[in-house]
Amino acid sequence: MAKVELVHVCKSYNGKEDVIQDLSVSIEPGEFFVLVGPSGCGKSTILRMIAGLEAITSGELLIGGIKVNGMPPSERNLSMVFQNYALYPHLTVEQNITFGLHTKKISKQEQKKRCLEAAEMLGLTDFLKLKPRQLSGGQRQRVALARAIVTHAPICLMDEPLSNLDAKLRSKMRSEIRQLQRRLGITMIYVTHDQVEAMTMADRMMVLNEGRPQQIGAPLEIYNHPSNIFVASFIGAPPMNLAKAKVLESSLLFNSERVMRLHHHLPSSQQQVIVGVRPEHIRLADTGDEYFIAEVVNVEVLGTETLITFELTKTEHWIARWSGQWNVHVGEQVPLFIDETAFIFFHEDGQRLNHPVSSYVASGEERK
Amino acid sequence: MNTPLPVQPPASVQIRRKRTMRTTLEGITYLLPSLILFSIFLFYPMLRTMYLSVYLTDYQGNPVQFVGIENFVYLLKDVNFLQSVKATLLFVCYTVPTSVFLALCLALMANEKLKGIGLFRTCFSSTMGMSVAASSVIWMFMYNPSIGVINKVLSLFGISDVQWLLDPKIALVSVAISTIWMNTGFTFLILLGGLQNIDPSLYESARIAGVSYLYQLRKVTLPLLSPTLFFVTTVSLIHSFQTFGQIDILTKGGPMDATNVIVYSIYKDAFINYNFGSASAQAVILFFAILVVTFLQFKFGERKVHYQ
Amino acid sequence: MNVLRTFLLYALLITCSVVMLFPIVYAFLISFMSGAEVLQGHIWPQEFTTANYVAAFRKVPLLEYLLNSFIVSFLVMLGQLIVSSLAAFAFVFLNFKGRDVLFFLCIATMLIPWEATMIPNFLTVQKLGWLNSYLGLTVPFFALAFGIFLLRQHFKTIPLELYEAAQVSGVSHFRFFWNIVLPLSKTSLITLGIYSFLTTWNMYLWPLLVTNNDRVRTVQIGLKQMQTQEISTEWGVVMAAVIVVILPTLLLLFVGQKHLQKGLMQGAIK
Repeated sequence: MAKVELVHVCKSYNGKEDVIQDLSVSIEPGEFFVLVGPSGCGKSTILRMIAGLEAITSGELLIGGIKVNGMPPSERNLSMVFQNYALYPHLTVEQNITFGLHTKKISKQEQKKRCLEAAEMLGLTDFLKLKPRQLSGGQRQRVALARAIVTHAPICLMDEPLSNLDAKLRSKMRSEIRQLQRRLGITMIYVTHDQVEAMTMADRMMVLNEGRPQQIGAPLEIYNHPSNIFVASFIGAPPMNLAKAKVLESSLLFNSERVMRLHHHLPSSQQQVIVGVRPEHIRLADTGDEYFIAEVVNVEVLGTETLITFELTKTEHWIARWSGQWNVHVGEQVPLFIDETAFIFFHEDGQRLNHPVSSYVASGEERK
Repeated sequence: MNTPLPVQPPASVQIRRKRTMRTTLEGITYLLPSLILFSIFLFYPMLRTMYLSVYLTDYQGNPVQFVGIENFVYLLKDVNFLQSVKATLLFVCYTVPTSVFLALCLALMANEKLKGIGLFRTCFSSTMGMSVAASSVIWMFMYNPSIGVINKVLSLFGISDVQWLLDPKIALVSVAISTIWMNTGFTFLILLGGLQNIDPSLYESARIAGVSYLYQLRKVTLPLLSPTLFFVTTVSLIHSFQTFGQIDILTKGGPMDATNVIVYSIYKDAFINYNFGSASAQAVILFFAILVVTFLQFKFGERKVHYQ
Repeated sequence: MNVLRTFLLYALLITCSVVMLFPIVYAFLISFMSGAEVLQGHIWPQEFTTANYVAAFRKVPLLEYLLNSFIVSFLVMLGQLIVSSLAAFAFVFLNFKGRDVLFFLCIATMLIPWEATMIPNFLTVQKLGWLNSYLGLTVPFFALAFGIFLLRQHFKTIPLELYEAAQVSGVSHFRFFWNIVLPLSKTSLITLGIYSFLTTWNMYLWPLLVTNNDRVRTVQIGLKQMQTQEISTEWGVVMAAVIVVILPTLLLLFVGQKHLQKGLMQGAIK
């Protein structure tokens, strides 16, 4: 069916600096693939290159095994949902949904049928005769989705489609889009800056920063094994706790203030490392645990969980996440315990240690 | 202590009333310059024009004798006036559709994303900086039958001695051509602005849908541009009714009144023949003509406009 | 296919530019030709001579005309900016009785063609003794409905919270207008300024009516004079004057094109 492959793709606007640098990834048919990264990381540019709205500076783009670099967007057999939905304000919902279908040699009846089908799927049946401005944000979003569906294109591209919706609606649409994609079995390439969207929707995702792919993999794999400190701090909320530490034999020294003893899992041959630990791995010490005492500086009780910010060193604060509601006070000294298997070590330059760069650079070569 | 309150509005109401008084006064103060100027130089003269139009006047513009609608009756029978109405309407028909259409074509081209497009935009809008007088003088020379460039070029094709401004059959067309050139800059600039206001993702969506350029133009660009098109058409229409400078310099209303458009006719009657009454009657007719055209434009043209 | 389209587009753009610019370039070239060459109907001067420019300044008081045009345009610009911004401020920020009626009245003035009022206006100016004076050339144009409308559109984009904050801290209306509203509306003010300057500089009919000597005559009327007087046979000199007259406005247009386009759109559509 429709596999999308990017092979050493680069993009440059001025011929000097690359906005996208040497990107290689292969997106499987029927996969929900998410491109995630902070704004300006080039994720939309990648999507627009796949769509054919931006030219590819170098490298190859293959859709279904065919090189499509110079092919106009309409011949790539894909659909796209834009961030602002790109609905034609002067056309009715129905006209918006069927816009352009005539170019695909689809009869009027078939157009009507598909439109009704899509409208029903998305609950738009009552709105077909209205203009976009008469619809709510969520309904407009659905019209944009319907327009992508009616083309029956095997690939659908989405550029931050939920960013204009409020939080409640967003989580509803997340699962709706996911279900739709499963039902239709289409390949979805989805751009977002919201790591929650990426984590909850993706089969696989690619984390991007400054035009460079940081890591490609399944959401949990990326969450549990971030390949560098950027990924570690970008994925997860609150983010992974990070701090510089000195390795002294079998202990870690933080800012020459705090020492944590380790038994094994020592990072090999490194003097200076960056230590990372997820907030949920810091718990209240039980009796018998090798605990450390820290002062609490802030407490956020969220109902199902409690976030406790404590002083790791004078200048560094870490956050612990405990499920349930805890009655901890600011200024309290609490005994804390971290299972040392939860520690993740990074080189000073940010790359993951004792973890060969395997999940990183899922390039063409590696796959073959 | 417990004396009943005197029957008068409570203090707060008084204060509020005082305050509204003050804000009203203040608002009027800010508007005063505009109001005074509008009254003296727009409302009063408009009424005065209407007043004069029903009088015979002396050469200083003082009303001498009330004649009712006689000025108008006379005008409607006057061959010269009818000729000037005809010239005006023809002129409007020649210039407005053409300049809007040409400017639209230019704007569509200049809206493409190409290298150096800014330069072309500047070129196309340049006539907006040209005064009517300067443009007319240039065109006067270009139309010159013996040394002007137009006849020089035409003579290459074996056409000779076209009397652009002296032949009653083509003088109005000649003036219209030069006017279209003068108007293009402004119309272009506004239409380009309208095109640039259209959300680019709408075009991208159309590209992915794969519709042809003409289909996109018909179904996306023009409907979305319609408010701007409506605006420039209305402005051009009004503007075209008010044409004066190019007539004064190029033809002086001649030959044989072929280009004697209404504003020029008013000017001649008032300031050369000192016939203020008749000129005022014409001015009233001009006023109502523009009113009617604007009204019709809004009534029938606006139906086709898609506001967002 | 794409390359062909780009090529065609450039070809069209260049052709259109040549046609649009031709009259201006033509005038420019003529202005450097000797009289004999003009009469031969050349397009490209064999020898560039600045004699026409010297003659243009010598034979008519072109310099005075230019100065007059500058003064008149500048005064009208200033007047329109002040009068329009005051009115627009009242329409946006001051809530008082009758405001909407007055606004409607202002908009209605756009329907009155100025030419329909010129006879009484001429008589008024004559009675005031303003013929052949800057006053007569400028004051009638100080109030401009379009200007009020344009600025009102922009003032409306200023958050009302700013006004409320000023009210709370007891800042007077005029202070608020002067220190907050005007600086925040710089772009619209510039747009309107360019627009008024351009239109006043290019004004023709009114200066023709109210000036009949060289004292305050503007360049546009100067051009007409040159063209109708005996030097009209010296086309090179006339064209030199044309170039001198259009230069300031063309420059202003090129500098302010973006402003103008955006601003005029704002005033036009919403």
